Amino acid sequence: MKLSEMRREYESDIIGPLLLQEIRAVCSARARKYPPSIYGLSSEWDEEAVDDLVQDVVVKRLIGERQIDYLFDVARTASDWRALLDRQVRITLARRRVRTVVDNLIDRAKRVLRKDDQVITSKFSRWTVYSLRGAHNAYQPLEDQQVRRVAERVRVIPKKAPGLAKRAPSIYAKREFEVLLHVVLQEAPGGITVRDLGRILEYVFTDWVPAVLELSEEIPQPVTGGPDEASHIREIADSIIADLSKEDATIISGRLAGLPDVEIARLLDISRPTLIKRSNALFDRIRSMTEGLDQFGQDTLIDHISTAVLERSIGKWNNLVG
Amino acid sequence: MEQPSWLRAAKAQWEQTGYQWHEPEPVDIIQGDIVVAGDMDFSSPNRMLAVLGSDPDRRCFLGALVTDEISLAAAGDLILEPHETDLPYRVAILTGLVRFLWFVQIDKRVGAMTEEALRAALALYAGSEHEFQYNRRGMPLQYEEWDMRWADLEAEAQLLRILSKDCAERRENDDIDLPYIDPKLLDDLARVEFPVEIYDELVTKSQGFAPSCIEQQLGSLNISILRAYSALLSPKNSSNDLISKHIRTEETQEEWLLRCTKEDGLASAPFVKIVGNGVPGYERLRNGGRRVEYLYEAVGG
Repeated sequence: MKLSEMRREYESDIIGPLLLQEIRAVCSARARKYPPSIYGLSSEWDEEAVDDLVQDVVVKRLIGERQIDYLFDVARTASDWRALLDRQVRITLARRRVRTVVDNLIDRAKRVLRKDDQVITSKFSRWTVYSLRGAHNAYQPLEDQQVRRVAERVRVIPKKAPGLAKRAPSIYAKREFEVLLHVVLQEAPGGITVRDLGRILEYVFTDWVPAVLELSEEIPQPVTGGPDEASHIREIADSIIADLSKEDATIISGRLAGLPDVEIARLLDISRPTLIKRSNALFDRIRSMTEGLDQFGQDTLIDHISTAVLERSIGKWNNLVG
Repeated sequence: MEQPSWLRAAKAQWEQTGYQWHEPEPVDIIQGDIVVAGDMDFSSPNRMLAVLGSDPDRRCFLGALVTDEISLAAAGDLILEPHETDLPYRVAILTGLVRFLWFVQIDKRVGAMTEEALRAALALYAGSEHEFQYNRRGMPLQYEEWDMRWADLEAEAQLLRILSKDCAERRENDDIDLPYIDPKLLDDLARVEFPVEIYDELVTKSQGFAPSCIEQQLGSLNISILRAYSALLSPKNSSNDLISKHIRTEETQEEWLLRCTKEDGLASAPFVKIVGNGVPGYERLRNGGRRVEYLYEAVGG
């Protein structure tokens, strides 16, 4: 079918039988590349599962978010149009994946928070509110800006990318997940509901859409040099962290979070050139301490430091290093 | 074929909005416009761009990539709602993916940023902050091993490089912004006041010409159009080719000279400005499968 025919139907009927047929063909071809148990909410990509995906793509993306307009604005040929539509299908599938991962993490968070003696619960309407013991602020649903700020902070916590092997992969290690929850609670003195947590986590996984679909399998853990190397890395990390000033910690967490220089400089109330000078000096110092580590060692070190910097900021530092 | 009930229900919510700035193949654009552009030979997919700067003389603009994939936006980018662009959907202006493209690459203007959004986009492009962006930024881009967006962003950057390749190579040519003279006007001028011996002398020269000499002869004529002599007398295209083409056609000499002038202009840029004593106008064409545009200006107009 030519783009002009497709456009004619779009202009008269938004999505009519011809376009629906095109959408179904693209959904069906794309969906079959991924396991139905994870992306199809079904055991196989049968007609019903594909129809369900078509409905998701059309109702949420093409009409709900007006992406059908974007497709016709940008495409010059029918094959361009199909390529753009294919992207919409991939985004829809990736969002399903994120939703599953977030739901699993929320279930896990409920279990962790209930057992945490620093956390208390209360009620807000029908929702359970989790807050840190001693926090006296009243609960307020988090605003978008707060959600984004918290998500940016906790995004430096190392997470494992999910592969296709498991529907409910373990994304965070135990220690990392506890740090994440405490940072979130610290940033929301009135407490959070699981709904707030879900919004934060969806933000944290922004980068998974749609790239998560391209991960064909669980990311393998690199072979380590054994306990001696792990202990050596830990020692280096501890000595780096012990020497860090508050300013150093802000620079490191800002850099790992990907914040622009101008923003880190504003947080520290210094100019951008000063920030660059100080962060160069800081990273030279760290580099001199990590000479001799291979790529795996350096990655492990960064993972460790990124969590430790947050731990220190939430006051658990002394407990964890003690 | 009967439509499913869920589709009928979704379409019942549809409202026709946006596109008050829509214009196919606009002759001119301004800062803040949002356009859809393609590459010079129509071989790559189109992309949407926000115009951060415009150079009407050189017929090119500085465009930032606009995407409907909001998740690709980073801390230095701008996520805009429909009422801030006059588009019916949300978009992200990726201020780190910015390139120069020719006007002729624009297939259509689809929207325009509000003034505040434009100011913020310009500030972000320059590497500073703008308070308008605080609620409209994306998730900061982390280093490559931690952030899955890199592959998509690199693919978009590569496509943008392809779209902007022609302009990047030729935009800086010294004289592309100067107009050519319609040979008919030249002919008229030569008949009236242009000494034949100077014309002949210049014709015989293989390289260059004497601007001051011609300027003296042409008096009040705008100095910028003197460039046309260079084109006619020492064309960048091979003279022999042009002449042989002329021999094979039924064109008059005047038509042939006009075509030579245009072809010579296209050796430098995908546009040719022609000054003549006819009617001002604009024409967009394909020449050898590539986009070109001709702009006619009237002398003294």
